[in-house]
Amino acid sequence: MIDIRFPIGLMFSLLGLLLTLYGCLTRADPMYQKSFGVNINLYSGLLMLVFGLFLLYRSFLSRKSKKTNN
Amino acid sequence: MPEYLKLRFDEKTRGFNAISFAVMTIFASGISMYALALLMETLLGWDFNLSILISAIIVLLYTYLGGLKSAIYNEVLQFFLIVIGFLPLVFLGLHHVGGWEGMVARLDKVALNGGYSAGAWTSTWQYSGSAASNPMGVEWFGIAMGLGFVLSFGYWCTNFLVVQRAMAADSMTAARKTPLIGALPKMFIPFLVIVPGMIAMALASDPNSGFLLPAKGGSYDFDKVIPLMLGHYFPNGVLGLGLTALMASFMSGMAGNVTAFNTVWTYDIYQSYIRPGASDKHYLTIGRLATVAGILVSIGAAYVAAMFNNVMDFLQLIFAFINAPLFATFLLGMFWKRTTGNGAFFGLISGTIAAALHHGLTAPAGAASLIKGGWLGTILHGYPFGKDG
Repeated sequence: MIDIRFPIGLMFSLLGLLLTLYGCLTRADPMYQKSFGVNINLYSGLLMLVFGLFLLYRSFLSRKSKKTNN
Repeated sequence: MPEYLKLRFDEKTRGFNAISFAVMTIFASGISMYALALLMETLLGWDFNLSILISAIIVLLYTYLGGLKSAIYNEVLQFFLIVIGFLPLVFLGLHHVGGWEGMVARLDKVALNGGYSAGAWTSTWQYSGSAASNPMGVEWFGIAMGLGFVLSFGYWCTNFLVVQRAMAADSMTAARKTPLIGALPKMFIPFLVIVPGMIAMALASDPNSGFLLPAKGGSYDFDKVIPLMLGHYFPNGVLGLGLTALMASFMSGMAGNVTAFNTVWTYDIYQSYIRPGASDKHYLTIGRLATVAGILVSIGAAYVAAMFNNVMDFLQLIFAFINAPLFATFLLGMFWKRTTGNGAFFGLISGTIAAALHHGLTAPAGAASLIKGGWLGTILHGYPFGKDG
C-alpha cells in the first residue's frame, strides 16, 4: 500500500507550480477580462501549490516516524 | 451484489438482478460517455460523434490498464481536482451575479416570471407543499421518501461502486464505515455543482448578462451548464484544469461501470448460466470481450442519453427501474426473517413492472419520443405539472 498523500501531493505541487508561473507570466493578459480582471491562474496555482506541499510534508513526516519506530 | 441475493434468497432472484444490474451499468456508462462527449463538443469544438468515439477509445485503454486499486487512487485524486478546479467557478459566478443576495434576488425574479412565488427557486421545503408550487414539480413526500429514503439508501448501501470499495477495505470496521466516510466528501459536491447551476439559471434568464444557455426540449439544455460556464469564466490555464477534472471524473465513472458490467456478465451470468466449469483463462477472455462489448453498447446508450431533456431525468428513470425495487428487496431481506426467495423474486419483478407501467403512463415536459415515457399511449400524468406536462 503506497501512501496516497505522496502521489497526490506531488501532482498538485507540480501543477500548482506550473499554473503559478503561467499566471505570473500572463499578468496583464486581456484574457483575464473573462474572470473580471482576477488573475485566477495565479491564485488557483498558489492554492494548489500550498495543498500539494502540505500533503508532501505530511507524507514525509509519516515516513520519518515509521523509520524511527523500526 | 447478485451474490448476496443468492445467499439470502435463491438462484432466480440473483439471475434477475444480475441481468437488470448489467443493463443499469451500461446505461450509467453511456451517460458518462455522453457527458464526456458533450464536454469535448462544447469546450474543444469537436464533432459530437467524433467525441463519442474518442471517449470510447480512451475508456477502453483505461479499463485495460488499470485495476481496482488504481481506480480508487484515481478517485481520491480527482475529488481534490474537482474541488480545486470548481472553487474559482463558484467565486467568479457569485461575483458576477452580485454575491449570494444578488443571486437570490435574480432567482426570485426568475421564479415570479415562471408563475411561482418569489422564493420557489431558492428554498428547499417552503414551497414543497404541493407539486405545482415549485419548479421541480415534486411535493415534500416525494423528495423525502423518493430521493431521501429509497434512492439515497439504495445508492449508499446497495450500489456496486460503493460496495466494491467497501470490500477493498482492510478491516470490518473500515468496511462498515464506507458509506459514512464516503458521504462526507460528497457533501462538498452540491456547493460546487448546484451553486453554479443556480447562477447559470439566474444569468440565462437575463439577456444582458452575456451568458446564454442553448434550448433543448422546451427548456434550457441543462447538461451544458457546467462546460459553458467553465468556458465563460475561465481563462486559459485554469480552464485546462477544470476540463481535466471533469474528464477524469467522467472517465472513471465510465470505467467503473464498464468494469462492473464485465464482472456481473462474466461471473453472475456467463459462468453461472451459460458455461459453468470452464478454465480461468476462458473466463478472462470472456471478461475482456465483455469489456469491449460493454463499451460498444454504451455508445448506443450515450445516444439514448442525448435524446432526454437532461441526463438527470434519464438517471432518475434508470434508478426507478433498477435501484428502487432492489433496495426494497434488500431492506426486507436484511430486516425481516420471513422474506422468502419467491417473495423476493416476485417483489423484484413487480417492482420493475410497476416502474415500467408508471413510465408508460406518464411523460416529462417536452417528451417527443416513447423512450422518455408515455409508451402505453395514454398519458395519465405529465411531469412536472399534471396532465399537460
